Amino acid sequence: MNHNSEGSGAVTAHSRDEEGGVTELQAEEHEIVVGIVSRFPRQRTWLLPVLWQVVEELGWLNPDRIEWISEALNVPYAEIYGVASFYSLFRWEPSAGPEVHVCTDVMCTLKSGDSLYDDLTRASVDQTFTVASVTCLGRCDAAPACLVNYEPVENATIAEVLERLRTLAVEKGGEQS
Amino acid sequence: MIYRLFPNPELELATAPASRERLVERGFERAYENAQEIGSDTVIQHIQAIRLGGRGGAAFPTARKWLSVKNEAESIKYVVMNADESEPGTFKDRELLLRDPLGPLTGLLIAASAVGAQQAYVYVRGEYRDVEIRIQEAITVLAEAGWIGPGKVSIDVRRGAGAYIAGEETALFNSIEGYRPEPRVKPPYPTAQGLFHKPTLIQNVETLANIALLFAHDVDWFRAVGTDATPGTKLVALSGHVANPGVYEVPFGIELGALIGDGQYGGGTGTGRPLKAVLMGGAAGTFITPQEAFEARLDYPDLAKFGAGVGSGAIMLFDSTADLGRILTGLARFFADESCGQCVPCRIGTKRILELLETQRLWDRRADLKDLATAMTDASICGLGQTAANALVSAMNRPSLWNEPAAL
Ligand SMILES: Cc1cc2nc3c(=O)[nH]c(=O)nc-3n(C[C@H](O)[C@H](O)[C@H](O)COP(=O)(O)O)c2cc1C
Ligand code: SF4
Ligand code: FES
Repeated sequence: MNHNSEGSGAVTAHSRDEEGGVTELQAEEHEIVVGIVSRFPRQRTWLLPVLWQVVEELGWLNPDRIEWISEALNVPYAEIYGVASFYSLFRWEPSAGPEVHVCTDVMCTLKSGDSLYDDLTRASVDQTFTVASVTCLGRCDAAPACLVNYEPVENATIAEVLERLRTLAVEKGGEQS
Repeated sequence: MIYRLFPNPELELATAPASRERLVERGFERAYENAQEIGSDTVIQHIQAIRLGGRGGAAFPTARKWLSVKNEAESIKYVVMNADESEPGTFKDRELLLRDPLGPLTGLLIAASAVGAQQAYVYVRGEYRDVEIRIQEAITVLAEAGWIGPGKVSIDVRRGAGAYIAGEETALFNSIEGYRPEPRVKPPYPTAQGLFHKPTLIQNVETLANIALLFAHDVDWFRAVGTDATPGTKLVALSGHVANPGVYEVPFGIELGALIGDGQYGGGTGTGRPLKAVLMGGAAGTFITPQEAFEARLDYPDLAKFGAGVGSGAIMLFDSTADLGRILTGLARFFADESCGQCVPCRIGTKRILELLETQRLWDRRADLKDLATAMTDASICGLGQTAANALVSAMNRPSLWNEPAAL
């Protein structure tokens, strides 16, 4: 279980674009990922916190990012991928906007969580946000429940979720200006 | 209304959940000091005297686990608070941690010193960001009180990332260690080889809150409420067709009928329609009929008469419009989705059950289903596979739950 080897810090960026070269963006992302890993003790027990941090800073996971973590932690790629892919809250694709996790589990379906999911999926065709259905969120007393960017919305209605998304968009716009 | 695990309304209004005032007013400071003074043997004797059982679902005697970990000769040991709560109908730990986080954390620190652990972990599900923030605030309060920090016990909060199975204790250890959250074969038990293969005490949030209460008061105070078999109170989570869904603290032994019908608790279905079925204990719990529910009390020996248990404290209510087949299909989907797939009977069995339900062949394949359930119970390595068919079998054994008696 001791993957906390010392000398593996010399990470070489060998992520490639389609033609095999390293793009500027990839080099930049590589630096961010290596930076994240170096903020934690180099031990395997910090893998999950590292994955969370990567998702929080870069938005999603992909094979390049897994490989950089693998190199920096000195744990085989397949092992890191096997762990990361087990968890449903990690996103693997770029997405234009916030993510909505809608509970379509038993107690929420009883309160129309399944139609909320369908309605949101239809509303998301403009691609300003993504929708995923998830199992119980532990908020069955306020069914149907969902998360907008991991923040809970209880007794959710489509109007309220869309309102939250609008607020998020405004906040984001404010940050950038 | 009784306020033990939850603070009374005045205190709840007057003090912030994560504050020094709350710590003192709730008696947790006294509890912490008291437990240090009387020493670990007496601490464990007191836990034994209140017959505390785990509140995470299995009701395993808490004192036995503490004694086992304490008696291990290893110098490195761990204590873990399991706040991974994630199954349909179960949300009481969320409420407890949001409203009074210092109780469970005080219990965790008492546990650490009683068994001789230097490092404590809190594992909280990734979907509970609000809860995680509250836990961090509470840890800051404890650090300021000088209970944790250099040379003392330290507490690490780990965030799950969406995996129900990670709540199973050994899967949770794997998750903290950076491995796939798959359950391990037991034995060895966590008390001998748990986190990082060291002796580990893992307890549910509510179990630890009871520890803090016990030492803030004493054995007699604790036993003054509840039943002889099970002293104290329980947090129950009411959901589904119920007028007042939410988490309620009630003494063990309370009539289920009161819990469901009284205005101060559930307040009835709230739909104007009659109750049709109650799912007791959790997603792998037992369906009981309204009649059974109105005869039963919330206690282990009493519910056992109906083949049911207290479980996590989840009570899910369904009125006459509820489609039982659809609910069972939903539960089956949950287990099929969440099975980690390590054991063949669980991996195949959960999928097969879902298929039978989706294609509505439940009743003509009754014999198959029974064999399947037996194989899953006997040959699965963790509780998920062992109990995944429970609710289904309990529903099938109760003809009166089904609208179409002809189908039987
Ligand atoms: C599939 C599965 C999921 C579980 N999830 C949880 C959970 O979310 N929270 C919890 O406290 N216990 C959960 N448990 C029970 C734990 O394995 C363990 O028994 C418990 O944390 C022990 O604490 P207690 O004795 O205080 O109840 C789960 C068990 C299984 C089989
Ligand atoms: S019983 Fe099911 S969930 Fe549990 S370890 Fe086996 S396959 Fe995984
Ligand atoms: S079933 Fe949706 S929050 Fe529990």
